[in-house]
Amino acid sequence: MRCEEAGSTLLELLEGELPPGRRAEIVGHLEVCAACGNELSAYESLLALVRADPVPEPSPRLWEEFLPSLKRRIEQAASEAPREPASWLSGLRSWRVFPRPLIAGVAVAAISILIVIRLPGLLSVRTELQKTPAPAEQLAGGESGARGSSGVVPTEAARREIGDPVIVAGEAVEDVLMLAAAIQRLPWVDEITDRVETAWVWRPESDPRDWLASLSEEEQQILIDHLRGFRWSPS
Amino acid sequence: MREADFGLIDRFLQGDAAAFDELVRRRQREVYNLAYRMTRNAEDARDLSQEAFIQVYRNLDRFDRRSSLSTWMYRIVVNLCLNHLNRGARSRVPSVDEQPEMADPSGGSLAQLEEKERQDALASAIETLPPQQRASLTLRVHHQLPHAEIAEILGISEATAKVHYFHAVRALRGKLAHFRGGA
Repeated sequence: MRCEEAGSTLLELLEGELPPGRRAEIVGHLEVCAACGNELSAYESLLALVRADPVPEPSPRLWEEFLPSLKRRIEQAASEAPREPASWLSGLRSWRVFPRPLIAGVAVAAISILIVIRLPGLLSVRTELQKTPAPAEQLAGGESGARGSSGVVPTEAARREIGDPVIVAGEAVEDVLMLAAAIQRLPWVDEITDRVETAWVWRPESDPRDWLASLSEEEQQILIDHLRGFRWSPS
Repeated sequence: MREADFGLIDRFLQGDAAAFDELVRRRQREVYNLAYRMTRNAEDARDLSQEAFIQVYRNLDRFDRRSSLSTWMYRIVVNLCLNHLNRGARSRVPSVDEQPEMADPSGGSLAQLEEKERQDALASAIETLPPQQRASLTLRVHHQLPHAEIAEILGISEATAKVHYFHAVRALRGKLAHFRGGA
């Protein structure tokens, strides 16, 4: 076994993640290779150091004040009148009933709404055929909200009108119904999904569009940069 | 612990406000510690841990008990911290009265000085980790959670949780490689 091969599995070894046969191979190598043995020891020392990393003890006053201060904040929050949920969110207030794929679908829908909200004038849509592409609202499924795991369901009219493959981040989408799936494969969607899920878990009364509007300029730019990859390609 | 937690939740849901107080007292330190390890900032840790308890208070009736209360609360804390970090929050050096109690370097041995230097370097290196890697590292090393539970807390796959953890450890290893023994 080469040291490079053994070195790449040392953390898995420490985590107990290796199957027995593979583990025996690595352990055998470590018995005869001092360099890899030292590398393993270095990881063990590092993890011991991380475990020993202290949390500075806050002043005793923090703990004395913690609960009274928390109660004041809860009372203050309770005194603020709760907003009515958006109608399309009615009945969807309990996050635990949603499987993650549906939340991911909502994220895709939310991103699609962002396309509608943010991109006119910003998105570079190239038409290589002398054909008018479907409006972004149709592509994105409009304000479809939570429509199931795919999140974006274009209308029949939109499908008939589009026809040509769409390129999403270099991936040809032959059928616009696959658009949502293509968006979901973008590497940054997980983070957006997490953010949407967080927003829904803790602000279920809010409309995702409020959340989208609250994105930082940097986040908006990330989305816009990726969405610039949307374009019409020749059939 | 799990049954005791559920007992407190039951009492709270039946209108016993003191049960929530007790729950806060039992959990405030671990919630604060997690928030501190995520933000490396005492003020932010205090504010975010309070915000986490507010969310717990508001949503306790929705806690379905399929996971432990700890897992559910960690999810709240970590999400709040990730949002906080994603908004571009910066860590800061703790004030003098927040410094961890450690041996006086001026009177300490060379080994103690090296240890202090190494811990400072570690703290700086941890601050450079991306938030999700920092969360995976903290939950794995300090809370000894299995990767599957970390994945549940972060809302990602178990494989991704492992990758975050391995990346974090390797990154720290790289940054601290110049120390004797590698760390």
